[in-house]
Amino acid sequence: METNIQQRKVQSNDEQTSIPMFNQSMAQTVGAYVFNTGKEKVQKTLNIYSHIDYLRPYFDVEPKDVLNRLLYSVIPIKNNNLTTELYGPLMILFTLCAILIYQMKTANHSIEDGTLIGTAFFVCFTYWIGVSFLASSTSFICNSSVSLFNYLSLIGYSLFSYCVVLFIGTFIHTSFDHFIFYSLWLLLGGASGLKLANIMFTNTPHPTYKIGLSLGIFLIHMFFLLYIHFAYHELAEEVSHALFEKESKNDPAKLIETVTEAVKSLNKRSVNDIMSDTRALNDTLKV
Amino acid sequence: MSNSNEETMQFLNAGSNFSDLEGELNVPTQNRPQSSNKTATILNMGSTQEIISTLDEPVSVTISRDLKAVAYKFGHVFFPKQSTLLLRDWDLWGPLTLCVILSITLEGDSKLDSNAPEFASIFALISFGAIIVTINTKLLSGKISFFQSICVLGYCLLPLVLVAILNDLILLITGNTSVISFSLRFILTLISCFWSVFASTAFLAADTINLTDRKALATYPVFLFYFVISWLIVLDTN
Repeated sequence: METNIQQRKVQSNDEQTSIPMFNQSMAQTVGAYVFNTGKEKVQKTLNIYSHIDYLRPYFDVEPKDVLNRLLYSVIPIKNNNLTTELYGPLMILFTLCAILIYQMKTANHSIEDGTLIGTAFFVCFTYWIGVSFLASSTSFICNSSVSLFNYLSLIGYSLFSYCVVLFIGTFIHTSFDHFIFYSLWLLLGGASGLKLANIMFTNTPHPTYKIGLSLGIFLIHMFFLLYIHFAYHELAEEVSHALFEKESKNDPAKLIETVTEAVKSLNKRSVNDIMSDTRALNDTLKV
Repeated sequence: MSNSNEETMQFLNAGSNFSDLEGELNVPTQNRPQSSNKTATILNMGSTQEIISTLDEPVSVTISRDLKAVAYKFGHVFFPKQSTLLLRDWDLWGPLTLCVILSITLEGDSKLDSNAPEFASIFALISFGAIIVTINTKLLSGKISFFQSICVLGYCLLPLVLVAILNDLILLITGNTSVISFSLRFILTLISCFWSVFASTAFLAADTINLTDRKALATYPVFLFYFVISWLIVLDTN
């Protein structure tokens, strides 16, 4: 009887303490879980930071080598050695991003869901990594000896010509026929495209694949340069066109020309024509 | 004899506290006293004194000391000379303040100009830019810690921040359209950009970083980083 009473007491005690006990254990487990996941995440980030060492060989380069590679990236015939260096390509990409941001800002290019800076980085890095993956996987199928890192380096250095062409094309914005841009596109872009094609050609054994691969990469290179120029350039063009028209209307030299033409035509035409001409003159002067 | 015994005991006591010894091993050689025995005692004493003093002192003293340290570093950036000050006592208060001020001054009104950069995008550009430059320096096998480099790059934003504020003032006084104001802003920004690059390379060129042949490679991303920010300052017409 007494034992029963004791048991009941113990049970009632348990019921009273069970909720705080449960809370405590819950807090402990949740705390342990949070601690463990936090620890794992910190370890992961630390691991990523230590993985930098694996990338170090790709950045083992001297300034002279970088300058040489930049120079030879627009000379298709010479120095066709394959490299796996990534310092140059990364720096070229960041420069290209900076030029694109400037170009977008001057072109009043606006993006609805996103920022100019983000778009510039996205476009450049997607092209670089995407084309490198595409080229390396196709060349793997075609038994070529060029690896992914070779492609990353190669395509990165070929973007140097993009930088030069876009830089000059953005700053020297003389006429609407894009003469400077097209000539640079053909000269520099073509030269670096040919360099890419040449390397693909020499490193692929099969004769048909050779031509296909080199032609493909050449075309991609040339068209992306066109796209990157015109996608963010259209508005700038329109704005400058409008400005030019405005300038020509207000230009005194042009006004004098129209006046002299009108005076010349006065001698030849009838009175009615003269009246209409004077009206036209008045209009132009008002403008 | 008893004196020497006491000294040995002191040394042993000091030696038993390895954390103190490890902590103080990084102190530059010129500040280190000659005798190792004395060094251990003094360092041990110094560290305990320092801990006690920071616990006891009022908050105002702590804040003023930190502010003085930040101001001293700003002075170092303003008159750049080759020193390891920013590398030794790095902090992120200065960079954070400068980054926020720059983001606020460059932030445009998105209703007036849809192209104007937002606060977040400038903040992200500066922070990610600094991180990328740091990783690049590390990849070029420079011996610099992550936060040291962020600290140097952040503090060296000072000339650009000053010019960004001046830029707003010039725009307020002269207006947007005049050629003189544009050229003035352009020249000021160019000077401050080169000032920033010069100051940061003066800090990063310290011998401890071990970038003997690759200074040019480490400097280029730094230059690009400051150049893009100065571009944003010149193009900012709000």
